[in-house]
Amino acid sequence: MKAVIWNSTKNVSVADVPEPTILNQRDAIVKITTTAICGSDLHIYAGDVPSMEAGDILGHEFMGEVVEIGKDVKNLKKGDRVVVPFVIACGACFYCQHQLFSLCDNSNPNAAMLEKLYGQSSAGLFGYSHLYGGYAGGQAQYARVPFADVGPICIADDSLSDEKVLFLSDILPTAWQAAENCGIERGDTVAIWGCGPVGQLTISCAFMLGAEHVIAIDRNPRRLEMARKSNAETLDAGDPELQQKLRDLTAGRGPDRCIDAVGMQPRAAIIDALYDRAKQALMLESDHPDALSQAIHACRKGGTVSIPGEYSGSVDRFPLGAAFAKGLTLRLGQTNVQRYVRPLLEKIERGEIDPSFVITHRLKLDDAVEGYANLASENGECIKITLKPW
Amino acid sequence: MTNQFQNNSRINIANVERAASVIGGSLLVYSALRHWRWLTIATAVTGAALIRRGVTGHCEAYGALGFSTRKSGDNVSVPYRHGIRVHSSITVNKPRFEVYSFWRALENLPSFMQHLEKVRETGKFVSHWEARTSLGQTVAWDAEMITDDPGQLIAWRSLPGADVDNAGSVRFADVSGHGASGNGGSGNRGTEVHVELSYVPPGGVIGAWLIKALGQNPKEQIQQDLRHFKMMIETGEVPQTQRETRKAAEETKQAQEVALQDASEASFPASDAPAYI
Repeated sequence: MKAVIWNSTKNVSVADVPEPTILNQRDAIVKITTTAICGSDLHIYAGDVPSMEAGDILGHEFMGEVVEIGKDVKNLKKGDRVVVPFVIACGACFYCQHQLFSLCDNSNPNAAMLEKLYGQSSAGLFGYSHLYGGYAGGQAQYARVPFADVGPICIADDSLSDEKVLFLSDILPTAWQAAENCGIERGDTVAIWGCGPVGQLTISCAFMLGAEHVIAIDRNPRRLEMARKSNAETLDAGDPELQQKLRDLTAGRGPDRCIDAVGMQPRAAIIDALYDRAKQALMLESDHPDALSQAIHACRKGGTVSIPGEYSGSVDRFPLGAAFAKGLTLRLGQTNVQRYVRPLLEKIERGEIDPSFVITHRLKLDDAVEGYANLASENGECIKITLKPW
Repeated sequence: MTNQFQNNSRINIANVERAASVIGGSLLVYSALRHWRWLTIATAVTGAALIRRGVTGHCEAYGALGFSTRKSGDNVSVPYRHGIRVHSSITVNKPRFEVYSFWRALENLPSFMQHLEKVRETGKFVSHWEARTSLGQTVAWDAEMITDDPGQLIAWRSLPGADVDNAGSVRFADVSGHGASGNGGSGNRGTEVHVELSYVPPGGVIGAWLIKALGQNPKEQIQQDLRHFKMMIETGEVPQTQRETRKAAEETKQAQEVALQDASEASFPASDAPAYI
């Protein structure tokens, strides 16, 4: 079958690889109908994610048709149309039973590696390095889905297009969790750093959860324009007056809830970022905390900072003093996708949200290499790419 | 202690290892005499030292380090200060009796212990075990269960004649707190499993050292086995990644292990020599 494989930093290719087979009785094989490139795939592309091996299949946002199931999978049958969460979860451990699926104890075969790095291991992920289990990803024609009785959600309504439901796999639940983690109260002002696909959907989720005003912050005019269509006010992340403007928009209080939807790869040109680059060149640090620092600085006293953006290493110059002085609450972590897929599917079915508006490019899987280069480029015209493997 | 035991107390090398020392030493001396050069004096001296080590059954290095690979005559499976000791623990999200019962059914053990091939209960408290070591050898032993306190504790030790002398215990305890952490849990927070294990690895102290040198950390090994135990009992399976990748990785690993085994066999006499020179 065809699949997008990682070869080395900024080197991916579409290759012919063996088709997956059932390895455990709770597995399913899915013939993929639509898949996508995620912003977090760019971390891998840029070489920021350790423990990638040449030949690893990329991709963790995919959906398709069940073509084979293990004998312990009772809730699916051949022919079912499913969206597959990017987090692999067993459903039986302490964390799964507390709805914290991304912290699953049992789905990461390489738990020992992650334990060494972080003290404890978290769930396995599709196509996201060997630290997260070394599972083959979904930018392919077929994928093997472990614990298929826990993750995949059936889409019974054939009138819902792939594009409308695909993002249940990752970015829509991620946006929802980011907004939910804020503890938004009716009338709140929410500021969101980063207007990539997750940031865009977070704007919608924040409004659905009761936000009065949403302020979207990015450097890219096309992304800001898309954010305005979702009724957000927008500010340029590179504006030296950014903090003052955020205070002005809130009569000096600062936004009640701040969301860092950037993670470890912002394109800031301020001196902090140059310092970061110098350190990175010396291999001293892997994460760039600019958006997070700005969010903590801007947030009102007693407010909440939610972090859906991904971090993997240590951060220095982290403004812990400001967070302490202002009594902030920080909420972060990988998305507990399985917890949100059903209620979010219902919202899509009721027409409350259509996440497909973030798609700017529709490519064939064969053109994935071009897609990666385009998404990683500085021209900023590309926001979300879907791939068709057939 | 008997006089006979005292008379032999300088012997701290197992019989197989003594024979290996004599053979290895002889080969070294032979090789040195055949290809005579100044450098080979060291080889000849090493060989002679090994022959002496084998004949007398006493190793100065083992003596200095307090090791012995000689089997003792008493009824303790793993004598004090011998072998490798590891302890490890894990929390399983199942009630204590269920966790105990899964372990107590000894034929379940190979499903989560990587090196175990087969366990068969041969009597009320007696069982037969077969395992494959990191170096690919097959080893077997009979074990007796010395404690079986249902829901609490299982303890065992190998019987005389074992290829790998070993002893161990598993203790089961409720996780304290009973859902008091505010996580909104079911009230039962699961079971703590505490394992203590000691064994004398095949190949004696050098074998143990080699296993560590090869990256087969016994503590990490037992921790991984416990993880798999938890996965089996909580989910019914041990998660796996693609067969292709795994197969390729395993083949590479096996090839490396065979190469290392050959290398270690070839270098065995020399590796013991410096203490004598």
